[in-house]
Amino acid sequence: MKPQENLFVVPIQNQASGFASPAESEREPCLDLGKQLIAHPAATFLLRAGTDWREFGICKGDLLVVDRAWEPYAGLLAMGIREGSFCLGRLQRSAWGWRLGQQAEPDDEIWGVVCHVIRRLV
Amino acid sequence: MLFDAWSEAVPGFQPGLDLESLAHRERLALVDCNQFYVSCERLFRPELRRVPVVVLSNNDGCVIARSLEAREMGIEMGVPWFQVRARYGVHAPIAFSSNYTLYEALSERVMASLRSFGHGLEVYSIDEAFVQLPSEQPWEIQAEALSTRVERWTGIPVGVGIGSTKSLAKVASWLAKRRYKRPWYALQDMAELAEVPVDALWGIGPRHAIRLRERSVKSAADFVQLDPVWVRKQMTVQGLRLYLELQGIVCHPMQANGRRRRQIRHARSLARDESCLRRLKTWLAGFVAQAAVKLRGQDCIAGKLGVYLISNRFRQEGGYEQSPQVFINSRLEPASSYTPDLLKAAHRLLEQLYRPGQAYKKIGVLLQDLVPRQEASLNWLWPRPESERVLMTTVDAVNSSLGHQALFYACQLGAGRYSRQENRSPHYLTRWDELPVIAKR
Repeated sequence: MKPQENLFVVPIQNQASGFASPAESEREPCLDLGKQLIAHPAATFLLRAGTDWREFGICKGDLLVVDRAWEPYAGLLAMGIREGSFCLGRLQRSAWGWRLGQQAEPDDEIWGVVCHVIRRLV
Repeated sequence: MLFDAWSEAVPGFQPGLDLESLAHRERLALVDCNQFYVSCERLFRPELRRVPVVVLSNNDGCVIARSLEAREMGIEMGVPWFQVRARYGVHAPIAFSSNYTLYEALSERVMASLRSFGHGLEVYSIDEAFVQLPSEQPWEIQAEALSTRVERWTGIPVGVGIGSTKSLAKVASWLAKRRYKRPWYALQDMAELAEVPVDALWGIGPRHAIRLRERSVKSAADFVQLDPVWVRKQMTVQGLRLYLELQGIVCHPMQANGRRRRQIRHARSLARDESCLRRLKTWLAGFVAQAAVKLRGQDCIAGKLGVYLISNRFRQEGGYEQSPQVFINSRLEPASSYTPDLLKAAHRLLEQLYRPGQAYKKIGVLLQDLVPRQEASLNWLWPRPESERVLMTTVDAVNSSLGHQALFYACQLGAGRYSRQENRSPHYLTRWDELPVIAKR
């Protein structure tokens, strides 16, 4: 963080004025959801589901976290390109490499692994 | 003469050293993205992979990037878009307005992927970087690793050229693309310089190319046979550096934090031709303010400020000759990064440049002679008041957290949207409401 970004932090005295907190040395940084959900920031893309995919438990409007650096293995949900458009499917091993789902075609291309699906409930 | 030339051109040159001993044993890789802007536009539009695509300049004026398919159609770099549309009609390529927000975000990802190797990295431009390669592994394997990772992680295809200096890496990259048609190439021996025409060399413009051809210098191999004294005399120290770099002597060392720019330019085409001084001042004020933010972002002050104007070249009779650009600059006394100082200087220069009745198409500001503020603050003759710095820091902080131009200068008032962008792709990577959508067919 650049120092000037602190300008908007109201300078509330954070330290106890009476007794120092006994927990001070145990303080840890807050949980960072971004770090938890994104393993490879340079390789991770966020996409929005435009339709339901009931078979994968995905609803319209869900946020997909797609990691292109994730090591593929059979059964992972992945995003791919079939005949010029994006599609979703389970990764399967085949003779010519990875493919998407049962009705896969030879020139399918794997785009990235869907690592998380985030749904807004409110 | 020769000795002076060497010490001027080669960093670290000392008397008694012979040039052979300076020859570089390490290797550099030039990684550059293939048709970068087009690749960015195609990333979330897989249906556009094999169709001709172009990207247009600000204001949708000219073609600034072409896919290979568009290049094969014979569309030249820089041609006005209206001409392409008139000529090809419905067969014209898909055109995108430039979306620099997207390109910058993807560029950062490309650079981050390269950085993940842990080697020295110099970001050279939005789509090029030099990587210092360790010598443990064969060059070919490293080149392949670089290009595979960047393409896999970011979806942007890259080419890799490997050589012992930056200029040789560039040569290797040229050979990979144009000659061998492969994603990477490591320069093996100097004999290959014979394959490279001089005008493909880094920094040789058309003017020098013509002069070299007159001396029957056709290839890079011919070029390195020239007399260095002649090269220095005819082509300045830059030419001599190229001459030496092609022989493996480093004149352009790696710059680790190389993003500090030597000058900052901010220029845009205007949506309509503008002949009103007051409105031109308004536009210029906005560009100066943005350039000043960049200047302070790298913690520098500018010693010189320049303004340029370009009048509309398509309104004039007689074809498309060189655009009539006028430029003027002046020294800032004292050097400054305080926006009001810069605005005052810019407006004064604009008044000098401006000709009543002339319609202008493009206007820009150039900040030059940048020096780090820390070094310059030793100037005790003109101590800058601390309050100026605090004010600017505050304005920049407000704008960076509340949005661009939450605070602006009164002289910017009255400027509408300056650019026409009819076909801009979404800001896929930087805005929640513009994320790419994936749907069942």
